[in-house]
Amino acid sequence: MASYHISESQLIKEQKWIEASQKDPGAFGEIYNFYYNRIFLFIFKRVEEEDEAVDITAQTFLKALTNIGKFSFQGVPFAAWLYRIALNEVNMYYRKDKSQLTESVGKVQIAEMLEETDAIVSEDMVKQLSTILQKLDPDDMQLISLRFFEGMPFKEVADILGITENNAKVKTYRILDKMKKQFRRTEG
Amino acid sequence: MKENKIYIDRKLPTEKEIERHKDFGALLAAYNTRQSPRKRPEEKEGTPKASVKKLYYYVSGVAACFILGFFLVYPSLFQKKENADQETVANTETNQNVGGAVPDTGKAPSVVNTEKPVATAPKPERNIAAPEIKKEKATPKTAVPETPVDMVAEKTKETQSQTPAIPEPQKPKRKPFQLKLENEALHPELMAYKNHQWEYAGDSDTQDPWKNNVFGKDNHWDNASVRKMEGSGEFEITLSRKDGTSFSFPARLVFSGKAYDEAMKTYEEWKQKQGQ
Repeated sequence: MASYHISESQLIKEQKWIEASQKDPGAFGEIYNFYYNRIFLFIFKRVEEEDEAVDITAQTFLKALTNIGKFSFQGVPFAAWLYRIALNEVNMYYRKDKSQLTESVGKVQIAEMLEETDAIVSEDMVKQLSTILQKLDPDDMQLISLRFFEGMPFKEVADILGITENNAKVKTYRILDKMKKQFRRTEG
Repeated sequence: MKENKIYIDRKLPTEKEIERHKDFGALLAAYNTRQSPRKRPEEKEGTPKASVKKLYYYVSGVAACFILGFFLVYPSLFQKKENADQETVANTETNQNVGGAVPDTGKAPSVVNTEKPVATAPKPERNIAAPEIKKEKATPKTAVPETPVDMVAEKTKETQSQTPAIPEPQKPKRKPFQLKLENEALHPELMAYKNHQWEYAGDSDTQDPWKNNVFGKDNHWDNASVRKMEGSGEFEITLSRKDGTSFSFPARLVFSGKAYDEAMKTYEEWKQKQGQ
């Protein structure tokens, strides 16, 4: 699960790191060390090569450091801001490279998602879902990926995508409905 | 429309593998130059530009070694020459004592002007045998280093012969800094690496050089020295002023960007040598 939920004490600490980094870029090291692994994995799952993940992660943190002066806590947690930058960087990479969108999914997450679509979990269904996911629209893929493959609550998905929680829910269930129909079509 | 690529149960890198990619120093450097830390395409391995660069680094490395070698060897050559001069003078003196046919030019022999302690021994009067001078000259100068350069070189030789363990290169986790440390040459484990940096290795804010504005423009230090801390593999850096005030803090050796790769290479080579 890639949920970025953190304890209150950690949140206070994070706030201090942000303030310090706004004054001195050298203090950004604490934030970097705390979030590096998570952001790296998040990016790694969305690209093909490890080297690409290294580059995009570096770019993500550079953007974060460059813009940290503009960050002010307005309901969106810092982690969501960081994930948003990471996602933008991944999207930019695909736009530049014009390559296929990549997604790494665990079988467990697939099973969880199948349960949401009322489908029976089986090897065949996993294959079918994989085929459906291959044809999913990039925006829909992003939502499904954050919600089911990263296991984020709707609130966090909404924070990262810059939409309301309700909107995230509505969109997700609409995509799931679309997928259900495709399942029926392939079964029929 | 392009299809998405779906990996099911893909092997993800471990925490340790991810840690290897962390390089806060490179990020800070990129931030400072406002440049992307990504490799530019022309810098990628195998491209002609990269090989030209490699050649350039190699040539400048060799040149640097020559220059360094010259400065290390030159003082000892100079001393040897002086020894030879003094010996010649001593022989002349002896010849004169024996009644040799050395013409008296009325000028003092060059040894008199030598400022070295050995040479400042009281000049023997003529017609007095001077075996003492010979004796003093016989003492090999290399045994007692006289100039600071000699002393450092001597000490380095001494410590290098003990082949201490060189620390495994690490990437900076905090804001790194570079310092010109006056006694760095006494630590072969530091001399083994090029382009190393330091980072604060303590936990307390009171010792953190960045938090105490130690490197601020208004903070002038006259000396900076380093001392290895026993057991921990870390160092203690002391900055001091002529008025006696000083600031000490624990520090760790770190490497950013390309320097890290080079240091890793050095470390691996050293490890291999140790294994042999």
